[in-house]
Amino acid sequence: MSLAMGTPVETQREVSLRSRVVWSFWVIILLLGLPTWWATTSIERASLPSDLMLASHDDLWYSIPVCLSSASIAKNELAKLAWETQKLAKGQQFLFKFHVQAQIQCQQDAVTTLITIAEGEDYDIQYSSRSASFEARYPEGGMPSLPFHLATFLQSAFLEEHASVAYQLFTSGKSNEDIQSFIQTLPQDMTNNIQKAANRAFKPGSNYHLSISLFTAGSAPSSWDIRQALDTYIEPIVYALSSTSNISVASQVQLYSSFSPSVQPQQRDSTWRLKKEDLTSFVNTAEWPLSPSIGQGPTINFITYVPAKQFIPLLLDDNSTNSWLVPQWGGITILNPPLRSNEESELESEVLPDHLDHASLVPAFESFQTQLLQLLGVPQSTKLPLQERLKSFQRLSALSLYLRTSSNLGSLARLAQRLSNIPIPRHVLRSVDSALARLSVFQQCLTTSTTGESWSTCFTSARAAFVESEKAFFDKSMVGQVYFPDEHKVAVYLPLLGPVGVPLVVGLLGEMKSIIGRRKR
Amino acid sequence: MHLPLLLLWALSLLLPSLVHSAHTSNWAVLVSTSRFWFNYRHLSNTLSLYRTVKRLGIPDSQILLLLPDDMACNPRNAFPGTVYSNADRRMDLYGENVEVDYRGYEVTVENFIRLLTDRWADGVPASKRLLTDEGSNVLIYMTGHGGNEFLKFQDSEEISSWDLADAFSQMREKRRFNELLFMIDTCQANTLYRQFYAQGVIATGSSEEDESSYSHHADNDVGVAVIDRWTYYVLQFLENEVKDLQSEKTLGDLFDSYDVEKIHSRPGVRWDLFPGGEQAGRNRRVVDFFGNVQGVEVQDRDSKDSLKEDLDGLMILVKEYETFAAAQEKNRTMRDEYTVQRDTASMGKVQGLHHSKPVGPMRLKKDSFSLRQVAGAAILAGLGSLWYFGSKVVI
Repeated sequence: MSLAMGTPVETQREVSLRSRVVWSFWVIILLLGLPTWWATTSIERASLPSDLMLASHDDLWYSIPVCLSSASIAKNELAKLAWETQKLAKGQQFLFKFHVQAQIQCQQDAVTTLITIAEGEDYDIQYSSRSASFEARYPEGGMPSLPFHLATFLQSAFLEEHASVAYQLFTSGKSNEDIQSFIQTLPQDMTNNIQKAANRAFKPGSNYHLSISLFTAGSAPSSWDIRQALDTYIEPIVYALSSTSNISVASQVQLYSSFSPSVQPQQRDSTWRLKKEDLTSFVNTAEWPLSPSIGQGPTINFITYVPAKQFIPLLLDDNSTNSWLVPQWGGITILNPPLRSNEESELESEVLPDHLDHASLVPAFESFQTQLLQLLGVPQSTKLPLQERLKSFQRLSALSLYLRTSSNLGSLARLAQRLSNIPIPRHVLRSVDSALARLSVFQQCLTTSTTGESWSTCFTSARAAFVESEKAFFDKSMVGQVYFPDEHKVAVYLPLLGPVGVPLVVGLLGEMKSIIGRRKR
Repeated sequence: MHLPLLLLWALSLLLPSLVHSAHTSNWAVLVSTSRFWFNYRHLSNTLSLYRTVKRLGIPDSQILLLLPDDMACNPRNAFPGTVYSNADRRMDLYGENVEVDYRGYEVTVENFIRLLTDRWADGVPASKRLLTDEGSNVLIYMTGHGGNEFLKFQDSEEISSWDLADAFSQMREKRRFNELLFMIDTCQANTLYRQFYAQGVIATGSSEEDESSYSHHADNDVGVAVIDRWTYYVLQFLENEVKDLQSEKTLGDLFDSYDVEKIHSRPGVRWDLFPGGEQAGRNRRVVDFFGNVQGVEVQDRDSKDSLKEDLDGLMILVKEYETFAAAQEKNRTMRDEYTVQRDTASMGKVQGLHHSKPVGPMRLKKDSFSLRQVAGAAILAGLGSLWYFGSKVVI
């Protein structure tokens, strides 16, 4: 054929040179090109333990430690009383059970409910804030039916906690028929309250920041007795919740900070009024330095606002208190401090005080305290005193941290299965492993915890598990690069591989043919 | 598979108060994706929507505004410092109070996806994040230049329908929204929501596949088109029909107001991902997405009184806290003293060195630098020898 076309005959050297060129191209492609292509285009995907992450743990229950003590009853009598109470208290409430202990001196801790028993005139259970315990009385000779009274009391006092747990399980999709039928037996207003409280509160987490600010429209007041107010109203709650939530507190004073320009107070008589619609837009988010976003967790804002002198007194339209709560955001109080007379200047006879003392901050901080409890989601039952509600809240928040952790892990596992393009780095796997390990510690701990001490390990593991699972889910390297459908891939590779690939493949085929030809000869 | 569904259905009949998916907060993500003066209208589209959601009460902290260019300060703007969406120039959209969260080259596909999925490096301020939860209703509005199943970001990259679909499904999976309304005004807009599969999403777009979306009118003094047709008529509905948060207008009303004659393209709506389908979706109020939920609770007087009874209990907490704080303080000083002693005794030198070293810029992976130099030299030498010996072999 080559003779017919008139091309010159190739010399032996040219033929061998060409075959060397072709082979060296292919060697480079196979040894260098392919590995490079593979290394640069493959997505790092650690294999997640999906089965463990998706496992649902339905049969969940825990125990509430109750400690009985008495100065007058003998030790073995008391032990018997405790045992009978525990037996009787096992009733409608199936998500937790009471673990009733008898002790001569009960220790106060983060979860245990204390009951002191003494003889009195009739059956009666009252909370004594002095000893931070319930004081149960029974009439003379009334010992035998005391367990019944104690058990009924426990059941009714902790009904709301049971309802909250049931509601939590229900909303997180872990409910069964028992829970559903239990929710139906609850009074309507209780379920409404629980739901409302859940909508108002921040989602349970392990870290919160409290940012307490004083915004004044003018130059005064420029200082306040914040330390004392915090120590009286805020720090005790922070301390009481320290085993489940890490709450940091910061305060600031900002001068010349007026409320949002869209809010126009109306004058009525000698006062200025804010309409209810104004309250949502009152906060001047563009100019007030709020939400510093330090570390993890949400910021709970508490704002004390002192209006300009000409707007004093600034009140709400319906003459109620001067403070309001913005769900899942914080609380705001308008403070109208008494004006002080001014001798220095003749222009102004009265000016705002330079300093807000503790007494003038009391109304603001009293409502901040109530609002803080609401925003954190502390149960608002009227049956239980604050300290008991805080104990109940800690149990509930540990439980909800657990539920959120398991839902986080489940979500991550489902995502990894569905999105084949999403990278899963090794450190995400480590976080997942650690979260799973903490989770199983928590599960074990939950069913075996009968004292305050063992509960505190539950709290730490629930918090750690939650933090790890959030870290795993929100890892910044898991943003998959832009998705390419298959036809896009073809469109990218074809122009690249067409002009390059065709000569290479044809060259290789020619070489193969000539090798086969030589063999035959 | 069917049993739990049936159970859930039965339950929803029995427990209306618990299952009713009331939202607890509202968020809006408003995105313009194009730069340059002739795309003036995309910024004014977005700013008009911004004005509307702000008028209906969504605070700036819950609006994420992404504007890739600054028309107000563009040298070609005959009316510096202003942006108008209408040739009558009655309403300056830029005004005094606009909070742009992402601007210029911050508006990228990657940042947008990070924003939706909330996957950020540490230290990204809260104002730039979409901090929604399972009770949030989210409005996402996008405008720019697009094509079949993609939307162009800033002339340099594009987001595809798959990217959006995956991002929304990740949000759903992490329960980052209750209901989501996705609106898009671009050419072939309806293709952008074709791949969506996350539940709870209603999507609407301005034009069908192979159709252009048109601008509404130009302002001769500004010199360019100032608003797009579909957005113009959506805004007209919102301004005229949805005057305040009490408005009972529904999404059905909004979508029925689309008029192909006026818009010059066929807008689309996608209901099938919404629980309850079209029926339920049409009944959602417009302000459920464009307005803010009115959740403010004024403190009653009696709620304070109830806490007063607990004050004694609190006083105990105060005392406990004080002893605790005192103990902490004491512990800390003791521990500090101890650590200082131990450190000075055992590793004083190292400690001293460590303290005296000024903090400078840190190099990541110190060792890899020299390694890379060696590797580079080796490659150069290899190539050189190849060139040298290669010519020998050939000749």
